Amino acid sequence: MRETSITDNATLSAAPENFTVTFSAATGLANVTLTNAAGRNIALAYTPPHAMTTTFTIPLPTLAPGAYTISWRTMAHDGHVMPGAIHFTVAS
Amino acid sequence: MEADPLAPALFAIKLGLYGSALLAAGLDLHASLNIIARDDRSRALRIATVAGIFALIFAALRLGLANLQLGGANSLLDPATLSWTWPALGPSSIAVVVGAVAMAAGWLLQSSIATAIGAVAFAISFGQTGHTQALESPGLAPWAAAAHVLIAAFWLAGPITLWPTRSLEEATLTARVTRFSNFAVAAVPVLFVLGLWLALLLAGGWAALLSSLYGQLLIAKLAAASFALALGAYNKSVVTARLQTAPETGQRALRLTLDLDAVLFLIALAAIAAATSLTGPPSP
Repeated sequence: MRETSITDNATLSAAPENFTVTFSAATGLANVTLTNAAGRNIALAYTPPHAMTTTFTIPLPTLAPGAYTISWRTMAHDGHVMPGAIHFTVAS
Repeated sequence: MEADPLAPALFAIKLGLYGSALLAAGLDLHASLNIIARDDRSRALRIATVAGIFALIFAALRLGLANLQLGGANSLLDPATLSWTWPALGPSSIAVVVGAVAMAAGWLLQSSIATAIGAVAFAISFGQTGHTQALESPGLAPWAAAAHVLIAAFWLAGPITLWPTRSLEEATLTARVTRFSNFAVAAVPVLFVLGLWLALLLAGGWAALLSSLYGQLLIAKLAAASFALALGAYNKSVVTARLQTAPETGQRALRLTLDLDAVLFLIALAAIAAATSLTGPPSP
């Protein structure tokens, strides 16, 4: 993973409208999940494309103040599965 | 990056896959190249076939584990998850199936051609997945990896083929060691050149090779292979001659060097299994 639009452990003053993750090489995004502080899944209106690319932009629902985790799992050309996650907080 | 709790399982599977595939391919190569004489090769081919079946099992486990890593606990045979994992691991898995079938045929039919096909198919399986496939322009790298693996397999099976068992006649052992050394002298330098070139290509240059964990694991593999090469040179220059002039002393020396070889090969296998499961090439 090269970069994400939300820094890990960031505290945001406003709820983000989307989340972008960029990889250093074309990668398949097999799944992405958003969970709240209680570990409950929050539905995403997003289906990852079934193609390998470097950048994925995931629209986020309206988020209330609180802590969240965005997790994803990717498949690389070389057959390796790479999990990733960032944690962030939307300030009240 | 998030830690993957299944990474240790992947390491164990890769260690098993690499070890069994290289052993199977190496023994079959020794048979195909007449290092093991025709009358004497049934046992080696049987061991190669069993190792080939283990490689097949480990390849299936690798695919299953990739599904679990990607899709979670219920995704072992999930078609949606397989649609991601199969394109990356399928060609390699198919090559392992072809190799295992050819090895079994080679054993049952005592066919040198079938055993050679089995060894080559196993070597090709290594180039069909892994880090060479993730290069922006793989070019010849996957084929170089296959050639590297084929020579490594030839070398790795040495301690088994050349082990001086009581049932092995002195003349037969000397013939095996001499013929093995003749091939090794030509092949092992190629193994080193390919290994170094691939390490530099995959790590992204000298600086990354020296500074990243991935690069350091590849260097550890090269270091283990270098020690094994030194032992090989000692075998060729001293032990081979001693086997003819003083068989008992020669066999003792051969056992010792082959024991050390086996330990060095295990270190090299563990290093490469770790490099391909617990870490990966540094980002450019």
